[in-house]
Amino acid sequence: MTAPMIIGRPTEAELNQSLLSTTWRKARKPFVLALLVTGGLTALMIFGFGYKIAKGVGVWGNNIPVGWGFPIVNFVWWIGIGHAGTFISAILYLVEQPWRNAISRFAEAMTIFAVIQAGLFPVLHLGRPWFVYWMLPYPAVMRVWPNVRSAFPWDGAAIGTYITVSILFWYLGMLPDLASLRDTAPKKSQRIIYGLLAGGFRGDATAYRHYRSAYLILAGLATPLVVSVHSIVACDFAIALTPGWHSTIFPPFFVAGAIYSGFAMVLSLSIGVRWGFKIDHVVTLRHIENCAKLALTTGLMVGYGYITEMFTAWYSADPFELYQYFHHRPGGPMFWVMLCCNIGTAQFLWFKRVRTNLKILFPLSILMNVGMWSERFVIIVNSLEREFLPSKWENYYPTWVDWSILIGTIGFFTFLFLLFLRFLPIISVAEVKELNASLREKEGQGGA
Amino acid sequence: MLSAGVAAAQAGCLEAPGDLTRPYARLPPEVTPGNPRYFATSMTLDGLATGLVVESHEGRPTKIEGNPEHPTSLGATLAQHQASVLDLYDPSRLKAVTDRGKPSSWHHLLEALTKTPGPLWVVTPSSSSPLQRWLLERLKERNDDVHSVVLPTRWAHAYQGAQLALGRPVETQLDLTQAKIIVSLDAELFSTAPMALRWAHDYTERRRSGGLDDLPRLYVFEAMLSPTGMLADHRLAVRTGDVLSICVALWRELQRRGLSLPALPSGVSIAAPKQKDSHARAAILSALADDLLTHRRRSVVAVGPAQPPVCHALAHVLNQALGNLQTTVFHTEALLAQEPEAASLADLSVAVQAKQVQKLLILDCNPVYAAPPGLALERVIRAVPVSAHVDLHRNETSRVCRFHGPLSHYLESWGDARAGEGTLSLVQPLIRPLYDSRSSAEVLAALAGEQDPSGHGQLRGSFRRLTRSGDDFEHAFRASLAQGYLAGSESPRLNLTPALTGGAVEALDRALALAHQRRDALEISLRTSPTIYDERFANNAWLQELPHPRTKLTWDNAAMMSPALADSLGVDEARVLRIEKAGRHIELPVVIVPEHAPQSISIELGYGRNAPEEPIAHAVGDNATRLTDAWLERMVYDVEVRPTDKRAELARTQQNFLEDDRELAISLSLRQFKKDPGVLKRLREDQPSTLPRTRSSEGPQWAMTIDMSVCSGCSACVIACQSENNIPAVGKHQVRLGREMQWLRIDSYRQTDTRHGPGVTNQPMMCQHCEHAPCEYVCPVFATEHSPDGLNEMVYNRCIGTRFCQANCPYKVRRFNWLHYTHRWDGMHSLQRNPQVTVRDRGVMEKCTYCVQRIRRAEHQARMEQRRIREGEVRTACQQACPTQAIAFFALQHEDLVPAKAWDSELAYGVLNHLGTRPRTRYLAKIRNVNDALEEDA
Repeated sequence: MTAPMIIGRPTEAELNQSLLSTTWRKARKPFVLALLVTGGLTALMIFGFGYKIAKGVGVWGNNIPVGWGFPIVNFVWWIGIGHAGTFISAILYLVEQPWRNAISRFAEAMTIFAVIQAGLFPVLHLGRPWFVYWMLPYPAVMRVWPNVRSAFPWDGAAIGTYITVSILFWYLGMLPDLASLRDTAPKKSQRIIYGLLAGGFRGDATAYRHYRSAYLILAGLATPLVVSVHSIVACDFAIALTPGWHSTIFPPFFVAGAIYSGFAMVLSLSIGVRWGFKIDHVVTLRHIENCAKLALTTGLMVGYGYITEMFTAWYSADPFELYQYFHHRPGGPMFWVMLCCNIGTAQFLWFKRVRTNLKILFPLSILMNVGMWSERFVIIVNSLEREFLPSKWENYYPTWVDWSILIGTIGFFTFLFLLFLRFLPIISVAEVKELNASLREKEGQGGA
Repeated sequence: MLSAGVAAAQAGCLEAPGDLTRPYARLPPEVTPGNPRYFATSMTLDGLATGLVVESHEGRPTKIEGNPEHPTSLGATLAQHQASVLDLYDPSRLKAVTDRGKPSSWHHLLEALTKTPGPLWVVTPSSSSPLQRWLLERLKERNDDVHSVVLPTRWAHAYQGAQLALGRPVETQLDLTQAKIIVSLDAELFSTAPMALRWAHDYTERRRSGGLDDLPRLYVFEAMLSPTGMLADHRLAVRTGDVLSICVALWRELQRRGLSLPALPSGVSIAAPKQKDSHARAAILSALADDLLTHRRRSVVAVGPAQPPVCHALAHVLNQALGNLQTTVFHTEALLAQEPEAASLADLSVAVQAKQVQKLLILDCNPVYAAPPGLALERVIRAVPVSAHVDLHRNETSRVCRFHGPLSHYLESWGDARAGEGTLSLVQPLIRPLYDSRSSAEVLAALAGEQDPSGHGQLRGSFRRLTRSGDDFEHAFRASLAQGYLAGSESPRLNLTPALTGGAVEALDRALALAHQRRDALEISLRTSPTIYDERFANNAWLQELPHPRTKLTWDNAAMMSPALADSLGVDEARVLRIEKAGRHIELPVVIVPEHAPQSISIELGYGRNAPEEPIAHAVGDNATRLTDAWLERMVYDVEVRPTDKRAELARTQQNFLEDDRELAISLSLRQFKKDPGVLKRLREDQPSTLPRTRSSEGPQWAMTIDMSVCSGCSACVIACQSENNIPAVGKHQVRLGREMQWLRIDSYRQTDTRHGPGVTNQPMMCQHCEHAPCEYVCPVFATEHSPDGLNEMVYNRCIGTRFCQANCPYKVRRFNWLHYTHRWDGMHSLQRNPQVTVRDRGVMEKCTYCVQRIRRAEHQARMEQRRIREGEVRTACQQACPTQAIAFFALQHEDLVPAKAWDSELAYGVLNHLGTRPRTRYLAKIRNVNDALEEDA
């Protein structure tokens, strides 16, 4: 018996009260404390990046041969996390999964904030980040365009498109709720701000008709991006010769991993939000369980990816690949962290008792993301550590700056998410109301 | 005024008449700004000269090259020669005279040394310089109370051995172009010997002239794998102390085969080898004896300076018996031998105790560091009322002296010295002294009260005396300066017959008895460092950061030992070992060298400097001379060795020496290769590739071959590259992190088949200039691109530092400016930089350019002369420095050139050819001329 999508049949006023009033309610102490802590971590991140810009890439642990270390690991990890949002709001919308409504808003917010974290790295990991614009096609005097054979300009295009569409999609979806906020705001200043944000959305039938078609078009546009972005990020590695990178399965393998880590993050966040904002009746166990099922599915795909990778390496009989996959990776701890956290934890999700037990699910979802981070580390760092020439085999050791930036971005992400929870409608209220109404209607018919 | 001037002149004060500095407002006709000029000069190492040609940009010497006409350089250099230019600009050099640490002047220093009553002692390093010897003689002539102490030469044992066998000290000259069988008994023929460059050149020539059918064969017996050992066809790792037994055993093997050799007294016993390696030892000695007898008159037996004199004496007799004298082995006058009655440091010490030394001048040496601690030289020098130390730096010796005077670098001095085979080589300055410094000759001349104490005047005087030239003097002097040496001045060959004298037999008996007694004892073998050479170069960052040819260790010396010894001591790599002898101890980290002899620890000298004024040298490693009891004691026994609980942080540029089955550095025995000459074809063939192809047919297509058969790993190329291309040293910490910047590295791989050969193959590795370059297509901003003439170019200005190229380079030859490395070398050091090479900023990638600046310079020249670039016109810095000519650079169109033929030869292959990168650098597989008798089981 699956849990209901909305517990009880609250009235619209009740929904407004529970879902929109979060914006006016006075911030509670734990919330302020969390904001301070994550703000501090954000400052740490800014300091880390600032220190790097002032001193050079050498403040990190990177070396020859491991030219790419934590920054690129973090980049790939964050961009992966940013995948579930669009998956939930676009793909599930197109395939008409009404349960998405309750969680789509903060999943989208999560996407945007994760992509912001990710976007910091390709820029700031550069030796001379002040020239990052050279990667963009702009009419330079020297008429030098970016090299389209390199995967980096693809990255720029893919991520640029993704964040643009994600923000538009998020904002468009928020219009009805911003309008509701405008209408219910207790203070004039709030009415003005939300009024401006709502962009004159009145909620009449014409507005809704336009809104619906725009939303559908954007959903259609966003859907291929779910697949394309991480496919292109995967190409950063797949187009290279490095054993451990040079692999044709990378694009789908990366996408599966991305959605997996995204759902893990959605699980962590929804469990957190449910607990913090007492909205159990809207974000029900049904949502949690569905997310867990999707995590299980994509987790199995990731596992399949590992098997294929190992098999291909073995089947190639290439000594360089064999060494990478069967000597170096299993010889380090990260490989086992990756296997345990990605493949091991996902297996618990076969059990309904686990899927519906938040006390188990929450730590599991965190572990899954630890696992995904390890996977990025294994792919990027371990591959570079043991390349073709044994004379240039070196190990990689991150520095305190590397750690500061990793922890800092987690702080910054949470900080942005907390601000979102405070100032914007955390649940797509309009859609929940709609769902609520349609469920009521259905029940009414069934009852009659 | 006048009297003051006279007084100054009497005191020997230098006043350069009418010398003004002038701006380049009106150009001297011979100078074109931007075009370098080249001057011949010489550098002295251990008293003997090597002829150099120095590149000078607008008055700044920037790059050292070998003098192609000089008989002991032939165009090549050692790493130490290359690096010496950095010492000139060392900001920590002494800049002015000080008296007890307070500013003083040369006038005061010289006055104190001349006016103070009492005897004057002068300590100088051993030198072949006729000028210096003449000045010392003059000084003694004019002043009864002058005593000269010349520090013992490194070749003292060789001289004593010659004394035993030939009745007089001699230099042993080898003609390796004629030698088929070369036996090195701990002799570093190709690295630290004074004739190393010449011998390396001749060895290669011999190898190449005969082709694969007539390769020479090199047998090496040594403890630690040296650059010479790297070239060995057969190498036996024996303790330095057992080399004498090897020599005796070889003697007996030869005798048994009927070679007429004087009988060794029957009482002479040989230290019995351990059961385990006795078989290998017997086999190699038997094969070697056969080889020597089949190739009489075409072999060489050479002995290293660490071996006792009697070993040298035996080798003389062996060479005579094998008929090598006057065909491959010659004797010439000893260049550094001292008169038997010359005073020593011990005499100085006695005289000081007797209060008979009032004044002491220590010139151009650092005896407090280098002397065995038993001499207590510090205390001795402190007891002298007026002591002066003239050297490049303030160091251990200065600290106990009252006056410190700055010595001129050789690039600032006039002088002379003999090359290893006697050629009078001239030292001519490239630049006026940067500081208020003087050369040794100038100091001695001033002390001797010469009329014209300038180095130039003195050199002219000495040259005139030596050449006995009259009217043609000016012409002869100028010609010699231009050439760098006096043509035809090599020592005449002596006709001496070695004999095993009674004294030699006695010495042999004693030496062997001692060896027998110590046969199981742990030996500490002290070696000249192949990187920093000795304490003189310890403050040279390039040399400190130069990876050790075998261990790839930088910024440290270590206790190098075999795995078996490490096991028995219970130590692992990087464990700090405490080595104690008679209450003195040193602490050094363990580095395990599988090719090392058992029961022996090799330690390199020149480290462990206690010189805060030399910031680079200070406290790097530890000083193993502290274990010795006498000068030149190179084998130390009766030591107590125990592991400490400390671990050292070693900065090694290569950690993994096994290539498994990766086919990277290919080494074959001649027989293996002949069995299947096409074995490398598939490593040379064009591979299908999806990588964009950038080969063009326009213009010369540049390419390189590297002959691994003759790469000894000496690393002169690495420093030559560093010096030519403005590559900064990054320091120990950065090397530890894997961030060394050298564009050229020498990879070493251990062979899995170690039954013969050194067991190690060297592979110089730099940008391969792939035709299908993997680095190029991944750069998002086109910062690395292909030129029409086949170079993989790096556009520093365009680089934004994504490091994608580095990630995709399978050879890992790209270097990144992780931090602001060049800024550390601003100031004085920046004068060394080559103005034709961009200095790279933080955050950009860099790598080997095939010395593109040299190619372009040759192109400009060719265009101005309206001709094509000549074959062999462009030489890269690494190629030019290489003593064995392992590196060849050419255009693929220049098909007549020998190296261009090698490009398509059966020995050529590309590293990682299967990737389809089509590297423009090909390697010639290492061919070991294995003795058939020893190959049976291979």
